[in-house]
Amino acid sequence: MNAAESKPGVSRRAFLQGAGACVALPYLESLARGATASAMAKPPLRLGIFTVTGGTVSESWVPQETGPLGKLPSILRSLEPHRSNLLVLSNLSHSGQSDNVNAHQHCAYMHLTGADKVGMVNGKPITLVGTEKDSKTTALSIDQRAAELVKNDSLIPSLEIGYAGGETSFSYRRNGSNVPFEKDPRLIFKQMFKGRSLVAPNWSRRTGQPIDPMKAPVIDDTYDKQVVDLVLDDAKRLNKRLGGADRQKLGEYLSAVDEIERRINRAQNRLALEAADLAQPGPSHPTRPEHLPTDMQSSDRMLNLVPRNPAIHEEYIRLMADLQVLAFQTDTTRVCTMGVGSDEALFPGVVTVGYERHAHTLEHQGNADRVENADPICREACRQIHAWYTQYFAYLIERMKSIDEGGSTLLDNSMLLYTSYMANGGHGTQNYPVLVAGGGGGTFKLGRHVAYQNETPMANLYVELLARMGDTSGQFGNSRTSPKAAYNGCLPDLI
Amino acid sequence: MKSLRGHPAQSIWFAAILSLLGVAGARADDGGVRASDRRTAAAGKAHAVDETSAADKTLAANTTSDDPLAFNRDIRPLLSKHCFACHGEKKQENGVNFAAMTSIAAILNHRDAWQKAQVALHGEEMPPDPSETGFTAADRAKLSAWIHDKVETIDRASPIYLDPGPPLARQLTRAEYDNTLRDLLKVDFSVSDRAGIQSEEVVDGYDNLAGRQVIDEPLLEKYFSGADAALEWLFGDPNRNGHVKAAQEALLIARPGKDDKEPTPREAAKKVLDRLVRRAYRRPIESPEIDRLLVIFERAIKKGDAYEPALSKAIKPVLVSPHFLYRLERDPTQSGSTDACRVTDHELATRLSYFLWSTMPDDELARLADEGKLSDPDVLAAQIKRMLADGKASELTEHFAAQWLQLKRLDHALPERSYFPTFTGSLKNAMRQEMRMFFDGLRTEDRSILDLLDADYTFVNDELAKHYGLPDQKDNAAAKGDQMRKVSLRPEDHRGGLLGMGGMLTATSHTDRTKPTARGKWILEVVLGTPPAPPPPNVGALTPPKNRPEPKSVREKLALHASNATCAGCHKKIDPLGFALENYDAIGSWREKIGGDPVDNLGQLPGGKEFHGADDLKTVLRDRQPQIVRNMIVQVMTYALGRHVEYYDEAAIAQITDALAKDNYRFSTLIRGVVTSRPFLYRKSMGDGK
Repeated sequence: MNAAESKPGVSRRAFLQGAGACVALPYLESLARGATASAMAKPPLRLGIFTVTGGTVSESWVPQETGPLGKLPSILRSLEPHRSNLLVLSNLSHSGQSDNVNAHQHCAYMHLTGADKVGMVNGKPITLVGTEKDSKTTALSIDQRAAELVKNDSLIPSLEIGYAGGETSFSYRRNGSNVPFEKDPRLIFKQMFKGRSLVAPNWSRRTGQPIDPMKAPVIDDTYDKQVVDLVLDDAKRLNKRLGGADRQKLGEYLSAVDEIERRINRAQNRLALEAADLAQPGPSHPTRPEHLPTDMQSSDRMLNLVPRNPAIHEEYIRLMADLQVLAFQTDTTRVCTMGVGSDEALFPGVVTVGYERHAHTLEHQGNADRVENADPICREACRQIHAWYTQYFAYLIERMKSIDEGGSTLLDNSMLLYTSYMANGGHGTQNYPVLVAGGGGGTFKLGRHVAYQNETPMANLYVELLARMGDTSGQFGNSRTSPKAAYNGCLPDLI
Repeated sequence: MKSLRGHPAQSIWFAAILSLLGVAGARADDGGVRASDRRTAAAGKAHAVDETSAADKTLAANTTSDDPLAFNRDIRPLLSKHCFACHGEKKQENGVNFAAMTSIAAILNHRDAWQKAQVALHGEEMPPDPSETGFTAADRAKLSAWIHDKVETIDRASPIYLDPGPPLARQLTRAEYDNTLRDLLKVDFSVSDRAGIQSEEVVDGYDNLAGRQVIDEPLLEKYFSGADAALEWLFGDPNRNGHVKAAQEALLIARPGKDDKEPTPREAAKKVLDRLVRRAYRRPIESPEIDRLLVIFERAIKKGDAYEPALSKAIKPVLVSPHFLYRLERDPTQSGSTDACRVTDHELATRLSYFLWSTMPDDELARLADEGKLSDPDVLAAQIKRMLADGKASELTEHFAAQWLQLKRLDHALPERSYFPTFTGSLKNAMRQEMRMFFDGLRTEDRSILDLLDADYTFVNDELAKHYGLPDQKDNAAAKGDQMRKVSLRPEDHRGGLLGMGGMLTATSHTDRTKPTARGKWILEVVLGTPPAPPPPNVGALTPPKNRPEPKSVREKLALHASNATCAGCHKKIDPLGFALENYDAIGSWREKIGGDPVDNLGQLPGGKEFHGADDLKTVLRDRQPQIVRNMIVQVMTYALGRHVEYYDEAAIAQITDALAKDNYRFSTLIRGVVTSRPFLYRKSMGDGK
């Protein structure tokens, strides 16, 4: 728990000062870190998920040999310079069943949840884990689980960004609600930096210099806090005379207000810390992304052009990568899911074979589950599209490598998962394209390809990643309940 | 309670939330089961979530009061003995599982299964071997009579059909939120756009269904930003433009007097907030509401704020309040009872206004509600008429029709330019306009809803007219060019009605060829209201069997559906409908031949006889008119009620059907029928939510 929230003797209202005013009060710093400061001796671990549309073309993704990575297959070719930062994992699969949804939804709902069963009730996606009818619980997605683990230290629990062309959301919370992708880069930037400066934490300075939180002046409550108090009061009074359906709605609303209040608190603590960082900055210097649209019109123009114009599409994906890097670099969030590509997009110039340029049509015709069923020209086109996507993963790695966090790079302190919500364009669920990049804080033995037994649950990988984020439960999704459960719900041979 | 695990219990209201969620967590009260859910239930598949709603208790053994259909007493034993072997838990031949019918909902939501059973009983097709289980002529008569009396006949006085459905707390949709702020504060921009509120992710149905609406923290945070954006526009800019000034004039009906003269700042603010809150919450004010806002106002004044900024601060909580963001209705009865009562006049005004206008009630509706007159049938009828004539009712087209007709799919249609050089952005836009204007014309001219199936007019501009091959209309020279206008059609134009519209035909095609399956599915979903179930998971692409030659045509390829048992069941209903439209190419141009051969346009309605082409399709659809009219009623009700239509709505459907038949299927009759139906006018108490 955040030290500030539990420290007796300091009025809760002390933390609710309006944005900006705290910047001049660097000694508030320890309010956030106080008791946990010593645990922050090194930069924290981040989880980034880079998930592309349309599955992949596995014969051009999975290396022929296991063990040390040799020359990479063609889709991964642009990652050659980063070979020593990669761990390619093959044969990971989903086994969840579906009810009342189409194949696309089936794959999308299982993708990051590793659910045993997905479906649709009253137009709302349902993801469940567990085998017996009675023991089924909602399956949340790996990013939302990770967000739960880090949310007390994170300004924004998680970011879900990208997919200008629109896509089913992959992120599910514990309460069953799903988190949509934010596609507008301008809004993503605004959400992250409204009222803040761009500054990288000075991790080494943040270590070991606790300041007495009792020295913090008691500040009047802020205006937003009054708003929060008042609507909460409204909602509570209302609750007394509501029936069941309305009460449930109000319960959701109250939880949301609660979270907003806590975010106000976190923001206050953070502003103080960052004021100290500004005076004594860390080794890297975050900057506003070059191509970030400045107003709604230019944002809209970009979003509209992404599906038609690969040059703008490229600019957009790079911008999303920049925003993810910036989010990690400034410790705005530690969990980011980035959606890449678009089924609806056209790829003239990227696809140079045949006449068809429409990704979704190409996937259906060229990316069938078995190579011999596919139209070879369309399959080559799919391969070209996926090789094109990979370039931007390489760009992301490169950017993260270039950021010094004080003796280690941002890439060292991250786990980047590159995958897709389908194994192939035929809505396949076996042998997903999966690779992990980044040091994971030194918890991976990189530069290899590891092949697991057929149909090893994808959820096993999620267990591994979450354990590195601090999850001690040892299970996730259907890691234990899948009919294909393997390796005791974990993945051997990562270290 | 899981969602709050690990939560610091730091505040007094935390306990309140926990108790709330404890009450709410276990219930599934969002409007029952979708039609497609029902089909899967009928197919006997395991269900992710039980389909019983709070009102659908399992039928008790033998008491008449708990078994109003006399099902357990008279029917279940018969079914168990003679039918369960093939239509029970073990086997579900033809997708029918009588053993799963254990509640009124389960029985009456499967009318189609009973109707099939009735036909089979009459034709003595079922049970297949009566002598084997001892199924007598008396049994046959008994079962048949029961189906007729209890399922096929809607006894409008039966308590079953007096149920108005579960009460729902409906949340403003994105569009409703924008429209409401436009009307409440006169803002001249989309607040959602500015605050980054995303469009609802609608998988099927409508964006306003209560069951899928959730306010969570990211969304609420955006509502906070939205309130800031609106108030910033109103009060933030010292060089205010004319529009802002007008908005201020409308809002600030009182200002404090100069030099300590009356009214005091507090009095003036009270006056402004009184009117604003009443409009924002769409009901009379409850006692402490304004005082609590005034506390914020006075604190700001004390800190040195001027009147306007202080007032702005007091307004913000209104714009993020649950009273504003949800359409809350009071529970009509005390706890324990689940009787249905009429909604109050204010609640009726709100229901009506969001249904027809997607926004808050205007002054006239609010006044009639204040005076308690809106529920008067004549007043209500006059208001419906007034509202439909108002331009704001085009929201029915923008939201209801656009979603029903799946207009958004046209946005994603990307016909290959090298195949279709005439397909331009402006042509696509004209196609979109055609569908919109056609539907909106039903309202403005109060035409028959059956025009959607076939009509001798449509809306085009020059480009679309040329695309359709319509003759130059010299008489209409005044409205030429880009302008969309109404034109009359001849039979040889092969247009008129939805099925000839380029927008629908393009949206259901590949980039380079037509997609008969998508067109067939569109007709089943949109026109007939019988969406096919999604394909089972893990079906691969269509692969010809090893020893057969590669299919030559799309029809040969799709014929593989029929040779695969998993696919055949649905695709024999879907594909033939789509093939009937083969004379329209992937961008909706008419063609008689494909590559020198006549177009293969052989079609078939589910269970009907074969026919050729789009014109014949319209003729055979006329035979399905009752089903199509019913579907239109169901679609409008779904949108109006914010939930899927259920068995207890049958009486309302029957009533609206009668009214439509008597009045030439006029659009206004449909709308009036829905507004004056019991589910629209009544609300059931959920008691304590137990």
